[in-house]
Amino acid sequence: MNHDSTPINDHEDPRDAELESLLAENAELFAGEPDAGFEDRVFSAVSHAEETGPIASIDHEGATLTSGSSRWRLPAVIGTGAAGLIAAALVLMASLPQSGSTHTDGAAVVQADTSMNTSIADVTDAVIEAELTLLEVDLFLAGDSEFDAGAGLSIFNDEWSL
Amino acid sequence: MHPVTETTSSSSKQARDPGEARDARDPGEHVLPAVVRAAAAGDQDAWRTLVKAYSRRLYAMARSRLGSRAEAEEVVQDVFMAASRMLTQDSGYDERGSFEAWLFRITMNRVRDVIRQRKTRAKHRETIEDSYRTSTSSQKAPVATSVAPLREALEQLGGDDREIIELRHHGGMSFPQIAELTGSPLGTVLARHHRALKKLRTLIETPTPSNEKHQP
Repeated sequence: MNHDSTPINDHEDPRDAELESLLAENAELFAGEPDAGFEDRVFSAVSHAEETGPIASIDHEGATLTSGSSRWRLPAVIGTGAAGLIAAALVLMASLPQSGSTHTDGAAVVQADTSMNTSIADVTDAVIEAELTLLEVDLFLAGDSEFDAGAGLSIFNDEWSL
Repeated sequence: MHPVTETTSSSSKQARDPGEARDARDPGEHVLPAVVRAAAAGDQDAWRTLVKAYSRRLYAMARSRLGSRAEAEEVVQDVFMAASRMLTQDSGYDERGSFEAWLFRITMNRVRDVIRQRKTRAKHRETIEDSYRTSTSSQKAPVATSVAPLREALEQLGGDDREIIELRHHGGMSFPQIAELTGSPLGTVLARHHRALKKLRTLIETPTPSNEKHQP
């Protein structure tokens, strides 16, 4: 249904019509991008919005974010040792207001606290921070002289021998 | 962040009202208030109706601005979660206003949040993206040749001009809704849109090293 009774524009220039056709084509391409499960994932996020916060986890294979029946996977981009996993897990746990968490041998599972209005984006940020930590630790251990490892690792140096 | 599947769509060669694209899914302006009230009361079917009606339009607008499929989908999920909380807690939505404009306003704000986060994290993000590029094949979506120059031109368009083009053509909003959303008079919105289209056309027609290869 078209709510709009206002002309789009005067179309005095035929090139305007061509441009609007191109914009319509682009809009269709964008709207057609998500796969068939897109609406289900969005609906799932809505239906679980009041029930539980998103869950973030990190293990030796990478990070996972779960919200309702939706699941996102951020694979580990690098091989990393226990130090990196522990650091990443701690970052994940420290980054989220959480209603529950577990932490063993560098793996972490964090249930976000919905009372803090923690959104999927907040959890995603925490997961990415954790992944970045994995990367930083890996580069640090690999002795990459170009990388300033100090900033990313300073908070861990007191407690963990890397 | 999550896997997405490349989907193609038939293209329209006829200039038409962007609002036409939503006809099949739109619950209708007379039915919409009842659907929104039902959703606020927790009716899952009502939520499905709203998600089907708006999620892909919100995605298209977010995708255009962010350039990332994963971030655009996350934005849409966040928007609906926020809408759900605000509706069920009876806060944030005034029935006298347009539900659609409200939903798009939440989307615009969320998109701006994402852009802000990107800026503050730029250094780290470059680092990890470099790592991804070297460790996995590129996940950048192939762009249909016909729209590639348009997308490049949109990237160069200024914020306000780009916003009105995206709301109108990617979000499929009507001019009155855009006026309500932006708090601008309808005439101003029409004039802004007309100017933005002209700027966009000029950008497309101006050869650049990257768009010359797309020219016939």
